Amino acid sequence: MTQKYDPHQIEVKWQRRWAADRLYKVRRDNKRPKFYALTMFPYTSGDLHIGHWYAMAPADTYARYQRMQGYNVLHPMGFDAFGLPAENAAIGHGIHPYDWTMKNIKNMRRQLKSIGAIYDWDREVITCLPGYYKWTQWFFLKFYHAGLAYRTKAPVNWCPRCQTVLANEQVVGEGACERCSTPVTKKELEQWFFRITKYAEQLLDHSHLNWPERIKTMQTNWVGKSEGAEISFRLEHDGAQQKEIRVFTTRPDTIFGATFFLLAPEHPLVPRLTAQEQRMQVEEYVAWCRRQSEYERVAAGREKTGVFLGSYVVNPVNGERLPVWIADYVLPTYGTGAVMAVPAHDERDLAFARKFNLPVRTVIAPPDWTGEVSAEAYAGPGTMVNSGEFSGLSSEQGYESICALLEQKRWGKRTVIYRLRDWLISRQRYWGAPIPIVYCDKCGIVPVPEKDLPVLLPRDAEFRPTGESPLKYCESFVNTTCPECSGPARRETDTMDTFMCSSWYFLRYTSPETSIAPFGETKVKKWLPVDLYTGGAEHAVMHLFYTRFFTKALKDMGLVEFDEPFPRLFNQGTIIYRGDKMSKSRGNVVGSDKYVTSLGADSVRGYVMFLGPWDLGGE
Amino acid sequence: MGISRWLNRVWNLVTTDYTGGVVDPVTEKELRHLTHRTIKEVTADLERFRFNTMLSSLMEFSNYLSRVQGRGTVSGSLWRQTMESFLLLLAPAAPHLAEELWNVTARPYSIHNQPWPSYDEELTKEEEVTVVIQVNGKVRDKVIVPASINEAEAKELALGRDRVRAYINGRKVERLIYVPKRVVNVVITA
Repeated sequence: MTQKYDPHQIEVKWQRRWAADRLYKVRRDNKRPKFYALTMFPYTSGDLHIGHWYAMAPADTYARYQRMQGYNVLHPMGFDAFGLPAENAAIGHGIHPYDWTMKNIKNMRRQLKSIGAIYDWDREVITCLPGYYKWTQWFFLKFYHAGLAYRTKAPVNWCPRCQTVLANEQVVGEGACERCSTPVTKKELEQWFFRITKYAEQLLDHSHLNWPERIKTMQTNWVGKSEGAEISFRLEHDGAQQKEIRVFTTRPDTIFGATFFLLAPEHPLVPRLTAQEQRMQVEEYVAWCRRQSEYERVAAGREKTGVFLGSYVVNPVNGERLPVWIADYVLPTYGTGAVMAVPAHDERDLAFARKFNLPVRTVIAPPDWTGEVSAEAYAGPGTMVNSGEFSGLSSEQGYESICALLEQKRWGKRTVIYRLRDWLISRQRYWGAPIPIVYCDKCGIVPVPEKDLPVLLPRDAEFRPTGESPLKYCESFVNTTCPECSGPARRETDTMDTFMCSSWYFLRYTSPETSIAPFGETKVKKWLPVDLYTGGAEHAVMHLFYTRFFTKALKDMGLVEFDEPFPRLFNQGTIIYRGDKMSKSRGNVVGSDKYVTSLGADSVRGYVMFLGPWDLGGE
Repeated sequence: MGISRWLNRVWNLVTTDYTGGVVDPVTEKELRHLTHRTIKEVTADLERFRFNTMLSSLMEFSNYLSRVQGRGTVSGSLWRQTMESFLLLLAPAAPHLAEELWNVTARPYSIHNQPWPSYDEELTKEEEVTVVIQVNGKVRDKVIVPASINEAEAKELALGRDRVRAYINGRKVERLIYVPKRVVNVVITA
C-alpha cells in the first residue's frame, strides 16, 4: 500500500489539473453527437447547501456518464442573479444589491467548483450583468412588437411586505406571497403583461413531452380549460348602450333551473343595475369585498354573502325574470364575471339560495329521483325535467340541444374559457432588468430602440421599498428624451419579473460570448432542444410553464425552430431538514463546505446519491 | 458517513499490490461474470437515474473484489483488466478518486476521456449448476439452480422439494450435509 486516502489533497490536485488542461471545455466542432444536460441554475443566495448538492451532483454524474458514452455533452452552470433577496439584503445590511450578488456569486462559484463537475466555466451565464439583461430587454421588445406585451390597469396581487406586485403564479397556498407568506391583497395598478393566454391551448399539449405526470397535471389545472356556453341575458330595463349581460356556464343543460342571477361585485354594470334604494347597501358591500382576498372569497364552506341590486334580467329560454344579486364568490376574472345561478345543481348557488330564501328548482333528475328538491345540489348527469320541450332528454343530449337552440336564436354560443390569466411581468422593485419603454407626452408609449439597449440599471438609486419603483426617484434615470420626437420623456421605472431572465438562459449557454445577438443561431441549432432538464418540481407552474410559453412565442417570431425547450424533464425530490424543505429563505440549510473539507467532495457526492431514489428526496 | 468508509476501502483495494497465486478457473469465470453483470446493472441504473442502487452494485462488487484479492486466485492480467472496468464505473460518481487511482495504477490520463465499459450479455447470465438431493445418501431428486446459491438457500430448497418431503414423511431431520453447488444430503432417523 502506498499511502492513506487523502480526499482533500487529491481533489484539489485534480481540479487544478482539469482546469489547466481545459479537460471539460465544450467544443462545438466536436464530431460526436451532442447531448445537452441542463440543471436549473441556482439563485445567488450566497451559499451552496446540501440541497444544491442533491440537485447538482447526481446531474453531473449523469452528464459524465453520457460523456463516457461518446456524446459531446454540454452541462453548463450559471446564476439566476436578479430578485428580491439581494434588495432586502441591501436594505438590511446597507450593501448594494450588485455587490451583495457578485460577492455571493464568487463564493458560490468556488463551492460549485468543489463539486468537481464538468461545468465549462467559459460558458457561465449571470443574469444581472448588462451583457445578459440587454438581451432580456431585447426579448421584451420582441414580445412588444409581436403584440404579446401590453400595459393595462388591472387589479393585481400585491404583497404588502415585499411592497410589490406578484404574478398569479407567485401567489401560493391560501393566497400567500410565494416568498414571505404574507397574505396577498388586491391593488389596481397600471402594469405590463405578457399575453400568455394566447398560448393556453398550445400549453395544454404535453403530448411530445417526457415529463413527470404530476407536473403535466399541475400545468393542465393551471390553464384550467372549461368547455361550455356563453349566454346573453337581456336586461329588463334597457340601458342606453348595453341591453344584455353575458354569462359563461359549463352546464347550459341546466338553464331552466336558473332562479337568480349573480354578478361579481367588481362587474362594470353593477352601478347601472343598482336601484336607488339599494345603493348604499351595495356600495358598502362592494367596498367590503375589495378587502377580502381572492382565496377567502372562493373558499369552500364560506358563509355566503351578497346584496340584491333591485333589478332583473330575463332568461332567454323561458322569459323568466331573474333577480340580480352581487356575491363575493363570483370573481371578475373568471368567465365573464356573471353567473346564472342554478341552486339545484350547484353547491355554492344552493347555499346562497338557502341563505337568502331564493327558489330552488330541480331540472336534472338523478337516476333515483323522488320528485322532491333534494337536500344537496346534484351536479351529475341525469334526465332533464321542468325544462319545457327539453324535458325527458338526457343531460348530455340536452347540452347539445340547448346549445343548438342558443346558436340558432343568436342568444349565445358554445365556447371555451381558461382559468389562466396573462403573465404580469412588472415589479416595483430595483433589482431587476428595467423595462425598455419610454413615455412621451406627444408620442405616448414608445419602445426603446434596439440600438439603445441595454437600458442600464443606475447604481445610485435609493432602493427602499415604498410601493413604487425605486427607479421613480432616480431622476437621472427617469428623465430622458423620446426616441421618436426627441422631446422630453420619462422612462418606465418598473423592472421585469426575474422569471423573464430565466425564460431564455438555456439559449445563452450555447453562445455566451456573442454581443450582437442573444444567442448564435447556428449554435442554438446545434444544441437545442435540451436533451435532459433536471430540477425541482416547485417550478411546475412558474419557470417550467413560462419557459414553454417563451419558447413557443420565439418560434412564432421565427427566432428558434423548436417549440418545446425541454422534451425530457426529471424532477429530483426535495431535501427535507427539520420538517421543511431545505432553503435559505426557510433558514434551515446545512452548508456543504465543512463536509467537503473533512470528508471530500467524492464522499458528499456519494452521500447525496445514496440517500434513495433521486426523485424521492431525502431527509 | 458510510460512503466515506467505502471510498476508503476502494482506495485500499486499488492501491494494494495484487499478488496472484495459483489460478482457479472457477473464480476467474465467476469474476468475469460479476464484472459484466455489474457493468450491466450500473449502466441500467444510470439510465434510470437510480444512483443509489448504482452505488449498491459498486459496493457489492468492490467487496467481492476484496475477497478475490485476499485469495489471489485470478491471474494478474485479469485482475488488472477488472480494476480498469471498476474504475471506469466509479468515474462518474467519484471523479477525483477514480482519476487518482487510474493514475496510481499507471493508466494514461485522463480516465474522464475513456469510453464507458461495455458488457457481454452472455457473460452477465447467471451460471447454473445441478444440485443432487439425497435422503440418507440415496439420490432422490435433482434441481438446476443458479451457481451463486449459498448453503442456507440450498438446504431450504432441498427440504421444500415434494419428493424429499415424501421420504421424510414426518420423521425428524437429524442433519443436512452440503457439498457446495453439488449435493445436499438430508439425514433422517430411520
